[in-house]
Amino acid sequence: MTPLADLLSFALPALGAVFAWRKPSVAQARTVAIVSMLASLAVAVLSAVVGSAGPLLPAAAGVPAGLSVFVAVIGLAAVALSPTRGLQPASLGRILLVNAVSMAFVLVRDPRLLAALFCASALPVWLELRSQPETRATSRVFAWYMLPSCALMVAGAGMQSAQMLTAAALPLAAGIAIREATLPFHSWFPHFVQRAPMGLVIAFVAPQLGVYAHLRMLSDTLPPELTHAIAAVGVVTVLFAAAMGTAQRSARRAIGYLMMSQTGLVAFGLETGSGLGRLGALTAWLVCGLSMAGLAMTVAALEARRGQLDLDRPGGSFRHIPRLATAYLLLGLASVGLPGTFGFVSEELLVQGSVERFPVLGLALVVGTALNSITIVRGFFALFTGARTHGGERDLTLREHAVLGVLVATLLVTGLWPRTMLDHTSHAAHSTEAAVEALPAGEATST
Amino acid sequence: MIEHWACIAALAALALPAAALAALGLSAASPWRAGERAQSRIVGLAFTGGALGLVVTAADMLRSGDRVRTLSLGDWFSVGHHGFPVAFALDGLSVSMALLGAVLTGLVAAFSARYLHRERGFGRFFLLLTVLGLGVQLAVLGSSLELLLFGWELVGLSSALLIAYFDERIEPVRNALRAYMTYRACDIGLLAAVVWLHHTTGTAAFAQAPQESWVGLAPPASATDVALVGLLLCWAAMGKSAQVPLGGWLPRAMEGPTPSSAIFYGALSIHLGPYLLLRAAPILDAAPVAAAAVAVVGGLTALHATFVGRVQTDIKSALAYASMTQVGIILVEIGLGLRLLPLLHIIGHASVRTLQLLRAPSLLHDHHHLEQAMGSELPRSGGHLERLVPSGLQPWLYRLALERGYFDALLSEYVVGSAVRFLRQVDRLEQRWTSLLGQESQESHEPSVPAPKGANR
Repeated sequence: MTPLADLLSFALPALGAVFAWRKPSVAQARTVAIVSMLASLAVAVLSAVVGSAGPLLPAAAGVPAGLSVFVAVIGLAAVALSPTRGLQPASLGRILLVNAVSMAFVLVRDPRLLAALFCASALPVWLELRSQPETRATSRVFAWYMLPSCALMVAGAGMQSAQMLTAAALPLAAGIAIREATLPFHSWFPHFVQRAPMGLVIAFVAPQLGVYAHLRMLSDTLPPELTHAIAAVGVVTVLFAAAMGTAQRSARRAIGYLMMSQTGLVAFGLETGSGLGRLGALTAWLVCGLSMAGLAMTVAALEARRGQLDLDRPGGSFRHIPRLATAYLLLGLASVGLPGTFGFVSEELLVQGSVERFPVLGLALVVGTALNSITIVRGFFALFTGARTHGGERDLTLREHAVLGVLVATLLVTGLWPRTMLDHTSHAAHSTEAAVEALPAGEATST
Repeated sequence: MIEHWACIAALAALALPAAALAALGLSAASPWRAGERAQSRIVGLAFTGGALGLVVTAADMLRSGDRVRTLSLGDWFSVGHHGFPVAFALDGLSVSMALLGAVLTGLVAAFSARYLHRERGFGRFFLLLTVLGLGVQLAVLGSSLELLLFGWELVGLSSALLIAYFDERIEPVRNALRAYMTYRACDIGLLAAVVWLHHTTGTAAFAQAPQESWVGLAPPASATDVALVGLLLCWAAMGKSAQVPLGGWLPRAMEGPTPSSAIFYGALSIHLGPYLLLRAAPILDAAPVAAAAVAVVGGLTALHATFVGRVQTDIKSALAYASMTQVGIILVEIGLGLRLLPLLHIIGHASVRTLQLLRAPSLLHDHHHLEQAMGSELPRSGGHLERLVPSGLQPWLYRLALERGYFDALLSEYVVGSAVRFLRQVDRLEQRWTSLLGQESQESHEPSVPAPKGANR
């Protein structure tokens, strides 16, 4: 039953892609996409509840169970909140394909398969960017960064399969760093978020497949020097991106830097060397994925209503679109640790996890988070307040309300009662070490 | 048994506002919105109940002679050996501040029910007022710096959102952003202090030292660490309490509705800085450098605010500077090692300033009453200073006071402005690099509408 459920959870979006592609209008394609993602989400929830332990796709030790639910929710947000403006039916098909590959990615362990899926997830994105004249330049930038990233992943996976574990660490770390927009391989990212359809951005970026690849392929194989370097680079990325985000004029570019800053947080946490820091990183992964997906799609929804969003020109429509504005504020603040949301819990764990080995880096994290919160609030004031004129925008539709409501409610409920989510995730944070110790000697290094 | 129930009564100060917040939040999210009367009654009852609970606790503590009681509710969450304990410390400082908070919030809620009647943002005001009230109770009753931080951040957010209450005008929104940026810049001090305390002592929980009546932070062993933590907490207090040179947001915050100005900048939010420093008293005692910094900052602020307050032409700005002056003096008292006097000063100042700010809209009316009672014009104040200061110097000093000591301009232009210009230059370089890779022409895809002068940065 459960291996079948795992198969269905990524086959359904792929099937949905085929049907969506053929639809004559974007709205119909979006309906098909929503139905397939809802079905995939239902199957993923079932699989997570029953427990995925079949031989076809063995459970991934060291990662939180139910990751496919996480990816499915992101996929649902990406399609359900996608405005139809500027999209083709094929666009929604490609978004579903990216999501299908991401779903398969988090169910797999073999390094070669992981590398293949890593590359496969970038292909529909590149094709979509190439298909529109206004994003063709973006496709070139994307290719310039993703080709080396994929090549490094394939090389690293090959070395790992050949038991050259120490040699494989560097190409794998570099390949993941490019994908996760870590300094200095980051320039493609704000550009991509600014220009590409937001649903595509979310489907590709929000699941942070690099984190999963890190957990599956890099944990326990990194030499200590590389561990320190990754932690330091993670913090520098957090600070750089947070600072850049505060000075942006374009709302989309500000979101891009925010997302980049959050991925730096996760990279840092994974290498603090403490179970607490790792747990903070895993919870930050989940919080960032959900909150950034919701925040970015909220901005896309506003952009579809209003046109290009300029943070230097006041928007002034809070009175008319209060729910959209409130969703933006809550999702944004959840990502930067607003007390009462799960973001506060993950930030607390990250900071506590860093005090022993990296207290100075922990202090830098605190600065980055403060700057990110300024970006969020500045964006809120600029986009929704400051003017009496109103462009006739409508507030959230029922569809948008439902999806954003689920995201906000999840972040608030888990923020006030975090135990269940933490128990779920802490098992993964500590199980990597336990799983490695439990295996026979020959297999230990390949986990 | 009685002590047990008296402690639980204190929890009403937290539980009732939390329940009110949940009720107002659900009401706002649902199609069946509660009316004005229901909202004001929910909030009023919540804080009245909280105040009564605290009175019961205080009475029982006085009866039994206990100076400190701790109420522990277990861990909010725990991972292995690490947990986030939810514990509340009931001592003279926390119970007094919590009672002050509950009473003043309830009074302002009652006032606002009429003052904001049929205002467009009535529901929003009461929701944010409840967030403030809850935040203050968490901050003053919490027995660790983490719980204080929890409440502190809620207070900061609600403060900024209420300054921007009249959200259709650009000035309140700009001022709200300035206040929020100041808060966050200074919250870094509080967060960093938490990190450093955990790194050095392993905990940021309050403990009762021998011979002390109140709980406080245990200082680290090393003198450098103590001084560092003390200075970080001083920095945190400076932002929240609008101390020089970071106080420019306070007069601008008067753009918010009068009741919110009263409760935030007359009563509660502005006194959270001195409260934090009173909790850090053991650290200030062990670090003369930090104590001196607190006293110097407070003294300079008192002088600056007195000076600048003299040239204000509207009552709320004048009261804002008066508030800043008194908080500066409170910080001087704390820096000099006094403990009970600052607490009494806080309570007295909060009460008087709240009254003055709530009466501010009726200023002219009150003036007429006074003049009718006196039978003549009210005498001007400050004439003795004009006789002492040379007449040649007066226009220069007047100009300096109008410009608020140039602190705001220096911060905007040379600190924030320089940073923003540098970051935008870096961003232009990034965009040129991606244009090169993408083989596109050099036009930027940034919004091409020129930014209005002085718009949100």
